[in-house]
Amino acid sequence: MFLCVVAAVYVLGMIIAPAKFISALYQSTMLFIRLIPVFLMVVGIMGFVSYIIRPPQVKKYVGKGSGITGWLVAIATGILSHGPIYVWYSFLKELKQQGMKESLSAVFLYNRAIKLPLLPVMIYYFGIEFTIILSCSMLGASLLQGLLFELINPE
Amino acid sequence: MELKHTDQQKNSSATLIGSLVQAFFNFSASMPMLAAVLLLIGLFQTFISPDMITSAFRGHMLFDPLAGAGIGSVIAGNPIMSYILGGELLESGVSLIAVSAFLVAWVTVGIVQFPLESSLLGRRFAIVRNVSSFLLALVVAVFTVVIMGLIQ
Repeated sequence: MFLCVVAAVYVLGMIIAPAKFISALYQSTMLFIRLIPVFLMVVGIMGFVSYIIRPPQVKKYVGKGSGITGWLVAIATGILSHGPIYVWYSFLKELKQQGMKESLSAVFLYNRAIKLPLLPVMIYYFGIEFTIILSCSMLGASLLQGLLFELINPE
Repeated sequence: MELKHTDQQKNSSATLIGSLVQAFFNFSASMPMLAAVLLLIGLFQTFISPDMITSAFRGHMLFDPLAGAGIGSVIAGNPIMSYILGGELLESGVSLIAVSAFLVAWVTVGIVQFPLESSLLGRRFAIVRNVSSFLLALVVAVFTVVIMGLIQ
């Protein structure tokens, strides 16, 4: 349904401003092509994780009762994960179905904002002090968000 | 015994392949929504220019951080773009708090991908996560700048 709405916007746009909308379509297509390796990586990780880690193990590490281990796993995997945020939703949905806590899903997604490979770029534009303080602040904010989910959805 | 070991290896490979195939189909189920998100990102990248973003900031102490978080929430794209734009915003006189809120919101809040997040992870989760991320972008921005002020 949502795709139909967006497609309809493009169809209308092609009539009103064809050059702009063709450019937008081209940008989207190039973005999709650039993301193919990331899609394959996520599918590979999803398949490998579901093969190696069974639901009881998911619950043990990131489910109810996982304790501080769960938080550390969510933080570490969030920071280490690659690609745009939306390619990870399917993976998190599967883990959620196997018992992953919502709070840890939120922690994972927030820590994805700390992009290790891009830190040198941030240092170049804003300096090392800003980069370190901002990154640490965001890590702290991820914990706050996780705690918020724990409060509204005690598991 | 050797034959049994080979059968076990074959079963292991088949299960791994089966897991990968299942993962592919599970991921593919989200492709229509994902395609819609990518099409929206294309629209943003075409119709919203860096000049438009810069012009949204007024030099107001309270408005600019909100504007920064708001714009960062709506725009989707490579985070490197946020660093480049953020650097330009700083050079043009926008406050560090506003730029920090912009940077954090860009990577933590996702209005464009909200329909996809909502459909896969639940509407309530998507709403709570994005709203709290927006507010936290402001908190992180203020905290970062205050700490920088203290150490400098």
